[in-house]
Amino acid sequence: MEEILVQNIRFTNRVRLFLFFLFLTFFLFSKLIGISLAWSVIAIFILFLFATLISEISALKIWQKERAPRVNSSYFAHQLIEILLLFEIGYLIHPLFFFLLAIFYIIFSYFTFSQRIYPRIISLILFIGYFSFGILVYFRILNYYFPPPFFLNFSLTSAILICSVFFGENLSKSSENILETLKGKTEELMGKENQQFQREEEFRRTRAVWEKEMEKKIKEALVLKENLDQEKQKEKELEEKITEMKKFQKSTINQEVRKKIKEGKDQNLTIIESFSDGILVLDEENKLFLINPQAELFFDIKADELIDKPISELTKIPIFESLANLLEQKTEKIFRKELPLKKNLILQVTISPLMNEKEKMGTLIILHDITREKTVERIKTEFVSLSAHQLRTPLSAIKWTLRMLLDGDLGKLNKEQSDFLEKTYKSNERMITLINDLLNVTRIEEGRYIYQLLSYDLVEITQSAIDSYKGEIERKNIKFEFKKPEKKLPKILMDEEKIKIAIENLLDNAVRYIFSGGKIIISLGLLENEIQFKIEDSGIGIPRGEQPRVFTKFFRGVNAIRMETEGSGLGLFVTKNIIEAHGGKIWFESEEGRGSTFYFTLPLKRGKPR
Amino acid sequence: MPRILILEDEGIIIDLLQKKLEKEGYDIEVARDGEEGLKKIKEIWPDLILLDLEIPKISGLGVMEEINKNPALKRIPIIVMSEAGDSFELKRAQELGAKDWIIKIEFDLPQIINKVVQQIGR
Repeated sequence: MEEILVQNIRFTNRVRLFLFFLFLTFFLFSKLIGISLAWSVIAIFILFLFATLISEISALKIWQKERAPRVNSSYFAHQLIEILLLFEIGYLIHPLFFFLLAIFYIIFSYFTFSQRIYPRIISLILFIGYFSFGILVYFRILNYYFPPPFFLNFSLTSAILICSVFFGENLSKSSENILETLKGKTEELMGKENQQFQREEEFRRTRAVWEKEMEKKIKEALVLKENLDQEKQKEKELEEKITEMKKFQKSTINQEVRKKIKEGKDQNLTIIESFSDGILVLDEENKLFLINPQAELFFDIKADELIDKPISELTKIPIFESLANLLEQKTEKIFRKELPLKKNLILQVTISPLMNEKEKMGTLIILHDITREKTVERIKTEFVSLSAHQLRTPLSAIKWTLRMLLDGDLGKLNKEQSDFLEKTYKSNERMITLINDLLNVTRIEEGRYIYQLLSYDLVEITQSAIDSYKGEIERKNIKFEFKKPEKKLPKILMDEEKIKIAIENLLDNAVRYIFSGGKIIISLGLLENEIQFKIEDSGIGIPRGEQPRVFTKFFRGVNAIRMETEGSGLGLFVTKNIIEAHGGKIWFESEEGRGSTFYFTLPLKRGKPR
Repeated sequence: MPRILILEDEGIIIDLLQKKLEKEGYDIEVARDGEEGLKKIKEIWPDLILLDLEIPKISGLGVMEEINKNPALKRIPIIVMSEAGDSFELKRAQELGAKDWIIKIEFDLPQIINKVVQQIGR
């Protein structure tokens, strides 16, 4: 071991000696061969690096050839010995030497070099280079970033190299001396390291055995897991089979039930079969479970073609499509809708969920033929419309004639005559109002209540409606208040004429069904997305039992009829239709004998009118 | 004297309008259906037409369409009279160039006179 060390050091020392002479040659003859000292120093420095590299590589090669499994630790020992050698000799120049060299160089260059700036900069760079390199070496910083063997070694050997340049001969001699003295110490050091190494070896072996065992166990576990997965798969398959069986069982039950129906064994089912309304039943999976003959008749289809098919499939049958679409909407509650199925057949569809405690068992669909009702309704509407139209011309004629008479265009009238004519005129006006209301209703029902939408200010419309009732309000001594909103309301799209009718209807009810001295408050306010109109009165109110019918056609409260015989019962119906056609909502709160409050809202933005 | 043509089929309405307007100092001509109306318009070139929308043979709107084909006739102001006040009908009349409109049942005679005066003066 030591021999190798000595061999190595000797080899490096020889190289170093050679470099020393090379350096001297350059240093002394730099002027003679015509290159500046600075360049020669740089060249030497590069050569140093190069030589160190070669010496180190060859040293390593010697190591690898001769010995030892653990290059690094022995190599470190080698470095240690090198440093110790330096210390022993007493040349404590290792990092310090760089600083000294740097300072020496700068002083030297100041005197030697020409005064040109260029070499000075080079010398300054070199100075900084040496200086910082010294620091790096000193604090072993290089060692940290570039671990041994290479860089630390490089720095150390550079130090030794430079050292040997000056003291080469000495070093090579004394190194041998020192090796002698160090022999024992090195052996000790090596021995310790070997012990450590052996222990580690042992540990590694045990670990290898242990790892093998672990591997075996893991393999076993994997096999187990695979088995488990297979079992799970089997279980799943089994479950699927069970569900299939269940389904099969169910369909057999369904078939049996149907068979029973056919045989007339089950009375309830027979009733369903002979029901005059069409009946369809869906099971909980939304498959058609039952369809009675009447329904078959409606759809003009045989039950066998539909039974047990899911809704999604039924949508594909043209005649069934509209109904199936209705069914596809989720319905938790009972739900009614008119459904024009084909020409001359309008059905009222009632869809109700069949509940078993909390679970939904299926859906019941009842189809009721309302074609006749609808036809009658249409004829009625047409009749009303026609008669209203026909009545209007004579009513206009009467109105104009009376006006001419009253204005004295056809000769002067005495007081009694004009009084009677005035009353006739008013009666006629009432009839005109009724006809207008009827006509509006028929227009609503025919879907011809056309709206001309333009931007209007609801405050202005409300004000003009109020103005036309001023006389009546004063006559009945009503305390009237119109609370306008604090901020100006935005204009919204509406049919001015129709909205005015709606407001007038509400105001008319309030004024008409109030006792003298009562109170009416109209207020307008801006909500988030809508304008709210509110009219509050201290009138007779609406009896609780009659409240659900308030907005229906021809409705008049019992107390209202008692108070005023006159009235068509169409006002609120028309009003509701107007408001809803504008995309708004209308509702009320009322207590009999205390008064009513009607509200409606109009949206700030909306699409096309209905 | 401004000349007004009344195109209306209802006798009593004609009588009332004629009487009232004559009293106001207008010269009145009457036609009882669309065909007769169109003929009279070309004959007498009235200063104003009071046109009922519901008349026999050619409807009020039909008469207006015919008038629109003749640029010279087009200059005669027309006030349309509607029985029902159907907004669709009135809108169409407006598109065809009606200067004003009357819903018979909702207006009184003096209001109608006002509208006439507004169009052609006294």
